Amino acid sequence: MSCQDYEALISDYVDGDVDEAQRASLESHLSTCASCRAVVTDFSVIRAATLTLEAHVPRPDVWRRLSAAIEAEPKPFFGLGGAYWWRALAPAAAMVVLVVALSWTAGRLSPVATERLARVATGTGSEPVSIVAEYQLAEQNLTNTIVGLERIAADDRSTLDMETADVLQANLTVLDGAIGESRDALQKEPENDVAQQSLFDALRQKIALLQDIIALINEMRKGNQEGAARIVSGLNQ
Amino acid sequence: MRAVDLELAQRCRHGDAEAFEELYRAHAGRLYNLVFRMAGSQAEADDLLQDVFLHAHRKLGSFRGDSSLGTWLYRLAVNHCLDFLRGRQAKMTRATDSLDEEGASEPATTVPSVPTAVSRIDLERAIARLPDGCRAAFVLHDVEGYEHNEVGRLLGVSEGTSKSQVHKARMKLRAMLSGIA
Repeated sequence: MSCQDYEALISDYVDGDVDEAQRASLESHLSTCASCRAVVTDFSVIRAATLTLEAHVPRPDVWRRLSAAIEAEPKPFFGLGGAYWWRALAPAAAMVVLVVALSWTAGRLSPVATERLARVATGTGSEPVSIVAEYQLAEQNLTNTIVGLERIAADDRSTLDMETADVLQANLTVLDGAIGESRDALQKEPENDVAQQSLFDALRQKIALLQDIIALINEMRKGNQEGAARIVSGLNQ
Repeated sequence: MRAVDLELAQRCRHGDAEAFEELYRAHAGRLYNLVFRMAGSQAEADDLLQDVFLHAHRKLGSFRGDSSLGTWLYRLAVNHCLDFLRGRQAKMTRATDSLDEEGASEPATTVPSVPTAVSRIDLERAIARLPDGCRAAFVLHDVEGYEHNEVGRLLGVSEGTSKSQVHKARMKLRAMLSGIA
């Protein structure tokens, strides 16, 4: 074998990643080849020096810039892999998109939502049009997410034992009550920010609970008692 | 899987700013060392670290606890670095090596010996001068301590390619530290 053939082995040798036959063959070659011996020595020196490299520390302004960038990020409404529904709404195009969105969604919303959207579209509300309309679209997106999750959860809920299913249903019923109350309050006072935020909070909580239910069903189906217990523990908190 | 990771991720997902700062403080140091040496410069490392955490903030919803949060972030950072390196490579006019090709090493016979006491500064500079592809493999294997099969998985190359890239990096470092490159 030539030096070139052995060269490929030298890195493995320095890493202690050769078998006995390779080691014996290479060491026999090294005993007669100063050039390859020098490579082994240099690689060992480099390996040793690499272990002494000091840790670099990020500068404080990295966190400052990062926290400012996060602050500027739109807040997640979905919790499903970071779906930000309004990311597409660049500021300059927001109103154009909004007009299209209003006319497109008007026929799909509940009667209450349609009424509120119509009022927004005609500018009879006291809040800026874009804010109120964004609320409507956000609510509709949250509701759509809930409908999808409910469908998934309903398909496999028989996997859960009766007692667990009852407890989860009771929690869902409480959240549905909170959602209903918030919507009632908004129907009476459409610009009530507290009611609006309560509605969003309840919708988000319902999404989180449905996600946990689906995760729990998956763990039960896999027979992963540990995973299921962890999810139930999280639910209890 | 650690319950504390899941809880921290959940708090971050719900917009808890303190939780995200906790996440950053716990993992920024390790990730910074990775991105610093993968990118080869402090200015790029600062931007990369910020991008990695910003990306993590957006992607935390997909963290399901299949691995630790640290491992999840590390993979995210490696992928981000690779994207960055590929983008930089595409822009560069002078040819380096690709992330997965097996390029030629420095010839072994023409290089004088590396000084037995290599300074950390010289070594850092030499690592920064390595071509992107072999630097990524070298950093993950020799500096970060991953096995070749793990490096291969992280870089999306074969174990053999990881070995050859690390060997190539060592040969180039040898040449640089010997003063001939």
